[in-house]
Amino acid sequence: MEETRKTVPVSISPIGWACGCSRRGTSHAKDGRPCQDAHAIWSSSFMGEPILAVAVADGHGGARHDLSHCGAALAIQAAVGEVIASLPVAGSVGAWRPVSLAGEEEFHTRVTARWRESVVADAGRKPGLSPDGEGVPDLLTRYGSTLLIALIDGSECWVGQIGDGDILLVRPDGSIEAPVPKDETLLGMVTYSLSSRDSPGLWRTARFPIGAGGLLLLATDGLSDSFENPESEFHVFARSLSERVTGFGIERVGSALPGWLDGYSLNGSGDDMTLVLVSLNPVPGAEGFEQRTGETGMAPGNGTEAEAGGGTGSGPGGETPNAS
Amino acid sequence: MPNDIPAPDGKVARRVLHFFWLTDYSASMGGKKIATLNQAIRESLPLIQKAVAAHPQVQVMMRAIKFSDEATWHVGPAPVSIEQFFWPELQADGLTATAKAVRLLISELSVEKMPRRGLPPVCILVSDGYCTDPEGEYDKAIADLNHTPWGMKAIRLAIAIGDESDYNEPELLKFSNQEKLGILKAHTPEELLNFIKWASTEATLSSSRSKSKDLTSETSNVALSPPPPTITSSTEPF
Repeated sequence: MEETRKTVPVSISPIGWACGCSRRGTSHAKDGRPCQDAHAIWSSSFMGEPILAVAVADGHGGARHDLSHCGAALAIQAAVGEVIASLPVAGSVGAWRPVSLAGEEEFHTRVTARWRESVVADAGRKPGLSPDGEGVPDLLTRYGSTLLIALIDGSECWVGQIGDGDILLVRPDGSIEAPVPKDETLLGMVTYSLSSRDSPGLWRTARFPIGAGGLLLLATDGLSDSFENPESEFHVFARSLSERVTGFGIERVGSALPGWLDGYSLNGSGDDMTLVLVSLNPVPGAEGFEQRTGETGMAPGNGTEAEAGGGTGSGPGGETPNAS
Repeated sequence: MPNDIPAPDGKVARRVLHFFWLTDYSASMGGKKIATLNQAIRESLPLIQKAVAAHPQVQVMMRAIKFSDEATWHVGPAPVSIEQFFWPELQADGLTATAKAVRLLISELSVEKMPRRGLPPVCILVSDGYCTDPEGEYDKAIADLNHTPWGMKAIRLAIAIGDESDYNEPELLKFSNQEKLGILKAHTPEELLNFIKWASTEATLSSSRSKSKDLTSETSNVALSPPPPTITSSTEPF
């Protein structure tokens, strides 16, 4: 098992807190394969508005996707990079939204295009690997990865997903929302991918108000596949995790995450695992606002975190890789 | 800071690989055929366990359907872990209700009984004859199998026993979804022994190795390569 990395929660006032962890799976460790997951947590503010971007990627692995650990790292970079690139376009205070409501090219389409460009560029930097020598589609397949994104501002959250993985929101009352419904066309261990020919059309997206807040989870499929029932038992896990955050604080939960994920991989799917948690404060005026704000008891501050499980380098500008 | 937070709730489990035998025990299977079948399946069990040991994240759960005049559970319908699986002796008798056996299999391959996330099931049909169910029933059963989500995704293999004139090759081919492989033709007891061992271990391994792939570039199911030739000291047919 890889050395445990310190998982430091990041505060994004007034949105809440975020922390995450990517772990190499037991089957990957046994075979000497790298972790093919990656995640990034990026926070900032633009014209006085807080912004939080979270990305989770899962490289497909296997012989056909031999560079998918790089593909996953490039995917989280593309997601955060596209957020940064879109900021100056927003134009005015209060007008910023991660995803435009109408008119412009969809955010996830731009992320996909950015990922494809970065794959070609990355291949160009690797000796003996060039899109001139093989078709771009084949190259993209080698880098194939899923991608889950959450973009959060002061009042609402946009989520997008291509391929497998889970995005869940546990509300303070324990109810669970799956903003992006499961893709009923997927069966078995197959998934859609950023490398799919028609990938822009394979994204599933949703937008929801933060309202009463809650705990937002973004996870690669290795985690939910470790439960007896990847849906019902995973929901039990999510609800229980939310209770741990409430009871112990996100800092202690963040510290426990690497050990928990290793345990799930060992006794469950054996796959790489990534879990990013965002503890969302209720927005002013929402039910529970007075009671929940600042209940983690941690000092406010700003920070960023990014981790490429495949070890392919740091993410886009602004983030600081976790210390090992 | 000491971290003694209890892990969150939720039942953790390994990935389940469902394995189904569909075995013909009609009267024509009597003698060497049924004896070899019983022996081969028993001998394949430790081989499957050994093969899957390299994939500790996988739990093989096995069941068996037997068919002659009717199709019934030989072991099942509750799946049994490979470590606990015991093969009861089959005695040959009756006709060949292959369609009914396929129907029984279909009843277990729904997404209600097998979660959408999972390893492709392995289904191995072993037969020496022609389906004796009413005409058209077999084709209807195969059509339904092909429309059942897990039926489509399953690794389906067919092993034919005896001389080509004894069994219905096109019929068995419809069960198999291994285009490169076709059906495995066991002319001798030794070939049957080898095919059952090879098919059960290879299909289990292939399913265990299957993992997330880009769906849109992967049009076919898990595909097996042909088995190695049987090196035999005996060529005595059934």
